[in-house]
Amino acid sequence: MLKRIFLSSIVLMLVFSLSSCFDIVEEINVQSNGAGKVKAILNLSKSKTKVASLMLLDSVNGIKVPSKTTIQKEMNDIVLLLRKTKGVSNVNSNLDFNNYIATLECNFNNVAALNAFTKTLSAKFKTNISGYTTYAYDPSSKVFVRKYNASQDAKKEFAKLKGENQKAFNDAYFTSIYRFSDPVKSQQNSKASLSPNRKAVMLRTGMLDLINGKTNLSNTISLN
Amino acid sequence: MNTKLFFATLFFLISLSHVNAQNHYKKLPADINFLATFDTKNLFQLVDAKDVNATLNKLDFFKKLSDSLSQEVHQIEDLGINLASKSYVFTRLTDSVTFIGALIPLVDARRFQAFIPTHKKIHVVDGLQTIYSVDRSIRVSWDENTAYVMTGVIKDNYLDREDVKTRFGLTANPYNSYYGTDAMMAESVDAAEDATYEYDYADTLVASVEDTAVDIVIDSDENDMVIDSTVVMVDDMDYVTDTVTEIMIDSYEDYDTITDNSVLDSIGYSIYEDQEDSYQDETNTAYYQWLAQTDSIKGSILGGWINTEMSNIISGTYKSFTAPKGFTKKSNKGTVAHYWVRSVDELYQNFMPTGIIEQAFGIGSLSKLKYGYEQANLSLDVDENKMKLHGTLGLDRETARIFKKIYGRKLNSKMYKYVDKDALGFLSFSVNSEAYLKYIPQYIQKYYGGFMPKYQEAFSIGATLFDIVVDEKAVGKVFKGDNLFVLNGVTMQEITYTDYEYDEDYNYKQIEKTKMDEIPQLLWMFSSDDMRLFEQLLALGVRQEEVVQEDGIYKIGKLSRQFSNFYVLMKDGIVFLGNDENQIKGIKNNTYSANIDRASKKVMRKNRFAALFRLNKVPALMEDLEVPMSKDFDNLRADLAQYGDFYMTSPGMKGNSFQGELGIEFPNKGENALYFLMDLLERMAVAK
Repeated sequence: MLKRIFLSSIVLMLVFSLSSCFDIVEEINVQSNGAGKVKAILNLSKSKTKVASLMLLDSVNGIKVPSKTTIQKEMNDIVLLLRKTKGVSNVNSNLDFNNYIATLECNFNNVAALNAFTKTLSAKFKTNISGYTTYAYDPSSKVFVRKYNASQDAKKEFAKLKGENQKAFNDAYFTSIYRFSDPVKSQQNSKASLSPNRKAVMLRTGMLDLINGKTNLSNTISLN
Repeated sequence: MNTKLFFATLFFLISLSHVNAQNHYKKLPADINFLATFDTKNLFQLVDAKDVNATLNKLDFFKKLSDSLSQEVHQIEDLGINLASKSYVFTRLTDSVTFIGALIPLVDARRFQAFIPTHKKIHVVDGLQTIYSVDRSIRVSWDENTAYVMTGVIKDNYLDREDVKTRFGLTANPYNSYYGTDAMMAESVDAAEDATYEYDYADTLVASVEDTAVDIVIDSDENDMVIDSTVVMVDDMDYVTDTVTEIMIDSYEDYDTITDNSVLDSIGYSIYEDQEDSYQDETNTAYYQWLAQTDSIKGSILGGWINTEMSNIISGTYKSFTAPKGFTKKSNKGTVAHYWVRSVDELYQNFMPTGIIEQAFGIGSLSKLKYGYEQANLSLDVDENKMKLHGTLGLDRETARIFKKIYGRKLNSKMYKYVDKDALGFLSFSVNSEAYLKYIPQYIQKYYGGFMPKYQEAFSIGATLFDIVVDEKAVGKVFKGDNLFVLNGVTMQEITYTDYEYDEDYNYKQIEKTKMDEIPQLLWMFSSDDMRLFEQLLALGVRQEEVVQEDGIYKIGKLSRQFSNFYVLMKDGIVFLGNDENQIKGIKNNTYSANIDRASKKVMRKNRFAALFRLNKVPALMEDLEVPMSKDFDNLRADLAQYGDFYMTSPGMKGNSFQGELGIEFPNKGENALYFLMDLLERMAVAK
C-alpha cells in the first residue's frame, strides 16, 4: 500500500526515504468471504543514521525535508482518510522515530475497499496511484487478482539520479505477502513463492527491479 | 514606463552611480542618523562597465527598460548617471517624521530626464526640474550634476498628540466613540440584553461582513502648504457598501425556524439586529469619511514637509554632515557599500511600534529601553573571490565594560590540535562564564528595568537573588565558557537496525541486526577546572546501567538512538564528547593527530566566536552519506566543490566596539567575486 504512494513520485520517494536503504513490507490476509486485513510497513532503520542526519537539515537538493510533526500530520491525515473510506475499519498506525519505521494497518470488508482506499490516496497525493495497482477477489470462484503496472513517472525520475545513487538502491527491498484462510491451488507470478502449508504467497524483490519494471507484482491466485 | 519600475530602477541606479563625491557629501544634513554610501568608483574598478552591460543585456534588463521608455537604452551610461562618484541614501529623524533621501550623481541631465516616464508632469521647484509620485510622498529633483530623491514616513505617535490634532484639524476616529457615547446604541444594547434575559437563549453570535470599496479623488495644489480639511472632496468619493449579517442561535433545537425573521421579530431580536445594522452603516460611512479626510491631511502635511526638506538640502540651508569619530569615511579599494548608523538604540526606538507595545503590555515608556548600542559601521567588501560584510558596533561605557569582561576569555589553545584541516567545519564560542553569570543580571536590571519602572525593584531583587544563589566562581570552574564543536567528515560506526525474519509459512518477526555505517563525526570540547560534577553524573549513569565505563572512557548508548553511541573523556582540563570511539581513544592515548591548517588556527585564536564551514566538502559528504542527488543539481554540485569557506567571526571587543565579520569565498573562476555572481545570474537566467 505504502509502496504505491512511494512509486507514485520520486519526490515523495526522496522525501520519505532520503536514503536508499529501506524495506517495504505489504501483508494482506484474505478470508474466504473476501474480507481481511492489510498491513504496510516502511522500514528505514537500516538508514536511520542518515535519515536522522538529514532531518537536521531544512532541505536537500531543494526538496524540503519533512519534520517529525509534518510526517505525523501526514500519517494522521491518511488514517482519517482511511477511517472515512467505506468498508475500511480498525485503522491503526505507528511511527517509530527511533528506528524510523512507519506501520499502517486496517481491516477491509471486501477487496474492493482496498481499491477505494487507493483512489482516496490518489486524490490526496494528487497522483495516479490507483492507476498502477488494483485488487480483485471473487468469493464464488475463489480467485484473488492483483493487477500492477510499473509507474513510468517513477522510472523517468529515477533515471535522473546519478549512477552511484541508483546503485545505492540495491539494498532496498519490497516484500508482499498474501495470506489466505483457504489453501492456494495455484499462483501465476514466477517470482513469487508458495509456502509449504499452501496458505501464503510471498514475493520479495529489489526496489530497482520494481522501478525498472523487471519485476511485475501482478498475480492471479486461485484458492481451493 | 510604469512608475513602480521607474522608482525601482532609480534605486538600482543609486547603487551604480559614481560622481563628484565631495560635493554631494556636503549636501548631507549634519543630523542624519543613517547613511548608506555606494562606492561605484570602486565597483567599476572591480568590474568593467562593459561586462556589467553585457550581463544586464543577457538578463533583458535594458530591453525591458527600453520597452517602458520612449527611447532605446543599451548601456548603463545611457541613463545619464555618473559612474565615477559615490551616491548616498540617508535618513533624518525628527519627532514627527522620518525622512529618507538619496543623492545620485549625474553626468548628463538630459539623458536622465529622458528616462522620466513620459506621462509624468515635470514641474520647476526651487529652480530644479521636479517630479512627484501620485500621492506626492516621493519627490525627485535634478540639476546638471545631481538627482535628489526624497520621501518620508510620518510618525503616528506625533499625530496622536492633542495639540497636533488641533493644529492640523485632525478629528477622532468615529469607531472609538461608537459604543461609548451613542445613546441610541446603548438603548438597543439594553433591549438586546432584555431579550436575552427573557428568553434565556445563549451563544448568540452576530457576525457582520462589510465589503467596502472607496474611491477617493483628491485635487490639491502641490505647492500648497496650508492644511485645509476641505481639500477632501467628499462628493468625489464613491461608497459601495455591502453588508451581510449572519445570525446563529445554538440553543434552539430547530435551528432553521430560529433563523426565520418572523421568529426573531417575535422574540424582539430584530430590535437589536436592525439597530445594529443601522448604526454599523452610519459608523462605517463616518469612518470612511474620517479615514479619507485624515489620509488627505496626512498626505498634505507629509508632502509639504518633503518639499521643505528637499529645498533645505538643495539650497544647503542645513549644516553639513561631518563624520563623527569612528565613522569609516574612507573606504578600502574593495569596499562597494558602507552603512553607518548614528545610534542603534535610536534606530530601534524609531522603528519599533512603541505605542502599540506599550499599550498591549501595559509597560512604561519604551524610549527608556536602552541596550547601550551606539554607533554602527558596516562595510561590504570584495576581496578577490571573497565577499565579506564586516562591521563594528559601538557600546556605551557601562555596556562596553560588561561585554569586555564577558568576552574576555580565549579558546583553550590545547583544543586546536583536534581540528583537522579536512574537517567540514567548526564552531568556537568563548565567554567567561563567571563574568557572564555575574554581569548579565545587572545588565538586564539596568537596561530593561528602565522601561518597566513597576518591575524595577523586582529586577533588582532578582539580580541580587541570582547573585546569592549562584556561585559564579564555582560554576565558572565547572564550565569555563570556551567551547569548540568540530564537524569532521564521516566515520564508520556499527549501528543496529530492525530487519525481518520469515519462517517457512512466511510469518515474520522483527529482529535486531548490526551493520557498519558511515555517519558524520562530531566532537564537542569545553574546558573545565572542576570535573567532579561530570564524574558524579557519569558514575550515576554507570550504576543505572545507562553508561559503560571502560579504560577512562564513558560510553553513553541512549543519548541518541539515531547516532548510535556517544563517548565522554575528561583529559587535560577538557571534557570531550564525541561519537567516534576510535577518535576518543586516540585522544586519550595521544595517538590522534589532526593536521590543522594555519588559517583555521588563526581564526580560532583571534576570535571569541568563530563559525567556519567548508562548502567545498559538502558534495563529497553527500556522496559519502549516499544521499540521492539528481543530475539536475550537477551544476550546483560542481560549483559547491569550488567554493571556499563560509564563515562568521567576532574577535569580541576592541576598545568600546564590538566587532564582527561574515564572509563567503566564491569559486575562483573569474577575476573576482562580482564576476562570479554576474556569471551565476546569467546562468540562472538561461536555466529559467
